[in-house]
Amino acid sequence: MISEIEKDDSKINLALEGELSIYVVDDLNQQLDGYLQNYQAINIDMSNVSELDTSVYQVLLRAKLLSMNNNKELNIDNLNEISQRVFDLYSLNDIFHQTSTGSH
Amino acid sequence: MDDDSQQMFQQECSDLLTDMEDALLLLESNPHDNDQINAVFRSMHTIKGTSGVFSFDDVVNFTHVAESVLDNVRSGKIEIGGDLIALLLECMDHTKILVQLAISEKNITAEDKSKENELLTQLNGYLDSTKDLKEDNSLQEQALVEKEDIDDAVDSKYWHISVRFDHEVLVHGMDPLSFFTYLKKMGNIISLTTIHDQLPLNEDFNPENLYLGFEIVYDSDAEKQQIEQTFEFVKEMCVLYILPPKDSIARYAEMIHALPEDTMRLGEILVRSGAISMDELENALQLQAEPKNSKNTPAPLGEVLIDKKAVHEEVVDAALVKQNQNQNMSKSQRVLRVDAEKLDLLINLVGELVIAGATTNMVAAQLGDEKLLESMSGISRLVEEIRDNALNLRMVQIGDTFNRFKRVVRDVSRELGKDIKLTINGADTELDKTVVEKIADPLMHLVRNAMDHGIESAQDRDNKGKSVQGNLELNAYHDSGCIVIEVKDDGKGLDRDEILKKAMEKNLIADSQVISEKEAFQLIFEAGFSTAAKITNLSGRGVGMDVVKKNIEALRGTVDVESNAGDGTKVSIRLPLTLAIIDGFLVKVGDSSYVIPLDMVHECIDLSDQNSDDKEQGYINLRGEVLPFLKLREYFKEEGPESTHKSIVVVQQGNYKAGFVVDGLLGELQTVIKPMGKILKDLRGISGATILGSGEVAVILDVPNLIQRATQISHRDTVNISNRNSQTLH
Amino acid sequence: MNEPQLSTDQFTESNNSIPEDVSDSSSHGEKYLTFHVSNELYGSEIDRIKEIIEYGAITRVPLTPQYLRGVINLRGNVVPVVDLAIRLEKSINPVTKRTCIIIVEMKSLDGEVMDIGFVVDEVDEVMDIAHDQITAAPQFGTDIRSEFISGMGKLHNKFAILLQMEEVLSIIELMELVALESKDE
Repeated sequence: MISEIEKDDSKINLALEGELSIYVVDDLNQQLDGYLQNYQAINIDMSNVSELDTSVYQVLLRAKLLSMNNNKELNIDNLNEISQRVFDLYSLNDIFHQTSTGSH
Repeated sequence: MDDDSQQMFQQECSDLLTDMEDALLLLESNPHDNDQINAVFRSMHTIKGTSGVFSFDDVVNFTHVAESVLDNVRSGKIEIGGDLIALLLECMDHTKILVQLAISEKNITAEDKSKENELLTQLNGYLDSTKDLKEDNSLQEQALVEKEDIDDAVDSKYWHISVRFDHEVLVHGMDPLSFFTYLKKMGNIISLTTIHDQLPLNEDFNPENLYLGFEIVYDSDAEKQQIEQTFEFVKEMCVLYILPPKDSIARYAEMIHALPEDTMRLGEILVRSGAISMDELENALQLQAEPKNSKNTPAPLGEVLIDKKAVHEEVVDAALVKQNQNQNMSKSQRVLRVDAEKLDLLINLVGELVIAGATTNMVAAQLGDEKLLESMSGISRLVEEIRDNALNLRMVQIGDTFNRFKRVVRDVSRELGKDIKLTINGADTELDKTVVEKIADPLMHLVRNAMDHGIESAQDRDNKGKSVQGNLELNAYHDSGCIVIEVKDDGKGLDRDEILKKAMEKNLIADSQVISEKEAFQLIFEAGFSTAAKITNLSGRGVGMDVVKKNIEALRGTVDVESNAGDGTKVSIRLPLTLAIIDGFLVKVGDSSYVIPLDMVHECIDLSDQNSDDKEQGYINLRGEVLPFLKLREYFKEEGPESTHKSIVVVQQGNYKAGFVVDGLLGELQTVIKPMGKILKDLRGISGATILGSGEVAVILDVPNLIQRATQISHRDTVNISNRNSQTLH
Repeated sequence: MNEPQLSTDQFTESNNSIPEDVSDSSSHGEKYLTFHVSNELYGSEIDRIKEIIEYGAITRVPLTPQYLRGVINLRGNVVPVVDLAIRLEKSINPVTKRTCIIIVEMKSLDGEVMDIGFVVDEVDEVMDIAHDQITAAPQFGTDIRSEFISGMGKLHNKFAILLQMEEVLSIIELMELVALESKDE
């Protein structure tokens, strides 16, 4: 699930933990949409993910694309082995590494 | 050939030929512009292809030779130079003729046939010269072949898997991850491309649906069946292509066809599928696909690539067809071809709507109901917007017409042996479609005139100290509700005295007549004035300057000439922007109401008791400016009640101002110009009629004409007055 | 609007008294509409007559020949109206509540069709005039241009001067006259 680690007016650090699957993907999507609206920069720590399926990956991808469209920052950090495997398979790491200043 | 296809074919060829001409003209100044070279090739190629579809063999056979030459130019085997461009322009003209003959199913004349043979001989001459280059080519080809072999080897090693799952696949408990994991057990995923084009970023997104597609390059010794088995559980819920290494070329074609139509570029598709390398694809994309069903014309794309042993014809054809589909889709989303009649009907209806709105407004005003009036003003605003937008549909850029002149100027300057440069300004200025069509001929005549009689030969110019190259300008811009088109040259200009002399010789004016410079220049538009006997083959039709003026006036326009002897001449054409609906200003003169086009109204001033003599004309001092005025009551011989509080409506057209004395000001209104019929077509001072909200007809004044009248009379009066040493102007 | 709308209904519309169709059933001929202009009786073949309307607001068009009274709004179209009295060079009578405008459809040389109206003092009736009731136009006696007259129609107790509308309302001639007037300095 999502936990808020710390935040201020424009930035927030989140952590995604546990089993991230289609059963929680609706809630997760809604929450991410909310954070995207309210914050300028979002960090998501993925070090405690025990399961990651395609639906959640898709939601993360969408959040990243949305952030880029709206000139906001979204960074996905500290991928553990489980998350890294999924990210590597789908080979869109280039997109996830983009910052809104356009650099890599 | 049925009418619709005929029209389409003709239109398409016409567009292609125009493109080709534009490109060729650009090449003249910059022969190494590859983009233009390709553009010319593409146009000729497409004409050939499309003609092939309709089995117009004559066109195909001719264009084929031209195309071969162009192909050689493209690949660098033939140098492009002035002579070749001239030849190609001639071929383009001849192609136009052939297309026309094909559509009308007529036979070619002997004259055209011999012209064709001449062109073909010249074209073949260029082709023969390429045979000497064969040796160099074979070396190049060898290098290519080697490269291709390596590519072939690489290609043949891998499988290509393309999968598009249905949206609900996740909900049904199936996750692509498991399939891919299984694949990894059987072999190596060399590359996996996730396609997220379909992923909605808006509220349409359902997180439980899958919107991703995948293209996988896969290395494995497994059998096809084993790979297929991987997807056993999900095969009902996806579109799956498994292409084995080798022998899969036709299947690539099939797969490409079946891919969902997103805007993925063709290159990405083929490169991802590993069918072609990036370099080969770039080459291939420079060519255009053609319909496959023409038996005479094999895809040159196929030829090129087969030569290089890259890929089979079918694959690239399929891929290019797809690219074209995508391109055509986006193109057709941008532009619609509309039947002109349908548009006219719409505009008529809008006109009726404007009148009906005015009537309703009037009734609402009479009833005095606040709410109704407010509601009506909302409707009036909307009607105005609809009116403007509807009229806008008929607007086209004058640039298209102007561009035709590039070729004319080029050809005629060669013919006359003069060096003339054409500059075009304001090409994106828009005007009504019918006006554009009707102004083309007069413009043509004016341009030819400027080139023939205006601009001097290079020698003469040099002697005079002018630049050897003559300058011809075509300018277009909007000014107070009109569009102004100028034909300007820096030639020898008009000699006022010469013109007056000629006019007197031809009895167009009397000896004693006083003529201003403006009037003198207008004389060149009199029938019988022109002495230019030479009518070259390009101007044709024996059009004279008087016809030019008539045509412009038929469009409710005016034409003015400014000139300085020795420096040049500027002919300005003013045309109203719209022909149908105008904003008007209603005035009362005696018993009658008249409409003055609002965009020519400058201001209204009270005429505090001035001397009321019967003269229909006079002057006032408008803030230091001398303003000639016309008393409409006297001029129109009105007899109704005369107001004691008269007004002057100051109108302006271009640089000319005048005032109209009226009995009352009745306010602004939108009006629809109604034709008055043949009988009343040529009235002086009247440009049309309109129907007011009350149902009455009101006459629309021809302001430019009336201004002319006001200034003419005043000029003569001035001279008469000064001649008689009479009193001050009043 | 291509068919002649002549019927008793049409007359009701224009608030005129309804003339009755007193057709002579015995011999065959053409149907004519008779009307009064300048205290004389004239007739015109019915086939090109489209309608008859009340005399109403005619908008004067300046700088046009005298015989052109002006233009009217006929269901959204601007139609020129000729003063028949002036055209026939007769005296003009003042407008009364019986004054009407008759709308006819004329064809110009290039086949273009247009509506023209003309003013009459009073409409008389629609009648059949048999061929044998029509005599040739007199050589003299009427001071109307001879090409305007197609014949004299004998009715019960009077004569009607039958007009050749193509000539009276000749589009070409009207155009020329207007142009001439326009050129006037």
